[in-house]
Amino acid sequence: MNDARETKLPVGEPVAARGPVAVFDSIHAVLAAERAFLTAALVCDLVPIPRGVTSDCGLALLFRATDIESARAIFADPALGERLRGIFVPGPDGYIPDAMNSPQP
Amino acid sequence: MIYLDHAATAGPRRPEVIEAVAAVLRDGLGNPGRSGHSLSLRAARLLEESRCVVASFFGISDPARLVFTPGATASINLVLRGYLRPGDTVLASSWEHNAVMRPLRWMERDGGVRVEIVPPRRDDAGYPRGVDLERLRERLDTGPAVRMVALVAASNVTGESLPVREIATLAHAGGAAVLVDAAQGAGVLDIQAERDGIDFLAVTGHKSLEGPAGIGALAMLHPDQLEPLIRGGTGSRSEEEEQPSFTPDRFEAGTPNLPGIAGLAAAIGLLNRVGIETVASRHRELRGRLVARLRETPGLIVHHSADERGDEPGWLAVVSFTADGCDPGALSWALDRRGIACRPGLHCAPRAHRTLGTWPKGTVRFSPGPACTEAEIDAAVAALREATNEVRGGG
Repeated sequence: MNDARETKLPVGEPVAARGPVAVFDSIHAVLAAERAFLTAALVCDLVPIPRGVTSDCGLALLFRATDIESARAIFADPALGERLRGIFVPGPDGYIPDAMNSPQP
Repeated sequence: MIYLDHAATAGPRRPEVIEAVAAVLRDGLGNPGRSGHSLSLRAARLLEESRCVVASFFGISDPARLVFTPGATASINLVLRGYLRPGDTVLASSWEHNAVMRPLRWMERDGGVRVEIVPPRRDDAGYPRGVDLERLRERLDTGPAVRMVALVAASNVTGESLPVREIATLAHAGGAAVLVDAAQGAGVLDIQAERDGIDFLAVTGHKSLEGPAGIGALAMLHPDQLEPLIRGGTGSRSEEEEQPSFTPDRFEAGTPNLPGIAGLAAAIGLLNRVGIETVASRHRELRGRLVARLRETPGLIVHHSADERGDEPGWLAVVSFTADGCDPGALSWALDRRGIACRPGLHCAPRAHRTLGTWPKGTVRFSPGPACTEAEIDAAVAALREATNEVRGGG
């Protein structure tokens, strides 16, 4: 089993400096989304779901802001889209819903 | 010790399986899907990669429709209690293990479920075989609607596999869902849930899959039709007090048995490398030799169709026999003292023994694993001859 992944995006920085996060129903869906990103050669990482988004105790998919259109295309696949609770982008005081997506917290 | 009790649980596990289990414990992996730290993430990756391995092995294209359970019995209880409603009718084969019969009888008594047994067909010598498909078809076409057909993939008493695909086709034509208890067949028979039309496929890890005990799985074609049996924390939707509606979380409340899951995935990885047809072929070779040797032994009744040698397709290396004048338990004990491990009695399948005509005393069952040798089969049968003499008071 390949369980050693390098951190590919900076974490621990001010939210405003970070990329968007995609939040899913379950760790199963998060890992499926990560596989889809890796298949599409997009850089991503898994981070704890920001508290401002939901109090859920799972992980979110963090990706580059420049890849948000590609992310939307990937999440158009119903297998992932049905499990997507929303895309959230950094705002001045924390993460806010992406205007193009209706989050389902 | 010559281990001929593989149908109860596999013999010593392979190093790869032991290492997979040990690695989870040794490395202190976290709780998958619960925390955000790297050890929890490693655990989650291992869980999901294992899920993909097991789902693929059983022909499930969406891994989310494969959930881990403590074993086939837990999977079967989940299905029967999560799918059936008062007034429903279930048809069960006449070879069912108590993993199916006991929850069904309980639901019949307390849950308003009607249970009917489908008789076997008879071969030329009158020996009971599989399922009488004509009777099944007639029953599905007439009488009260049938909600589910439950059957074993293979009998744990006789080793005969049932025609799962034909039965599933008939069941679906009659509007019934299909539950297959593959505790015995998984790892030997080529079972593909989607291809074979198995709505609910229950498997356990510790028999012919040769993984650890305490881990099993349920593959589902229609998880939305099933209510969970256990509800609780899943690491998802934690702000809600209602069980998640999506799979696999809907059916996997509580911390998963990650050492078991890792061991099961490792065991299936080995099976994939060997090839299931190689395992099936080895089972046929062993069964054929066992049936031939037992038939050469005076005073034994081998509960195998007289029309067949024993090495034909569709049979597992699971052979039941009785010996004139010998209690199965006494014979098993005499065999144990000669270094032969086997299982006497009813094998938790009184329904199958009634079908076979061996109820209530049961049989002695020899069930070698693929690693068993021909020399061990011959030695076991030689020991059996001594043991029968001893039990009969002659030795």
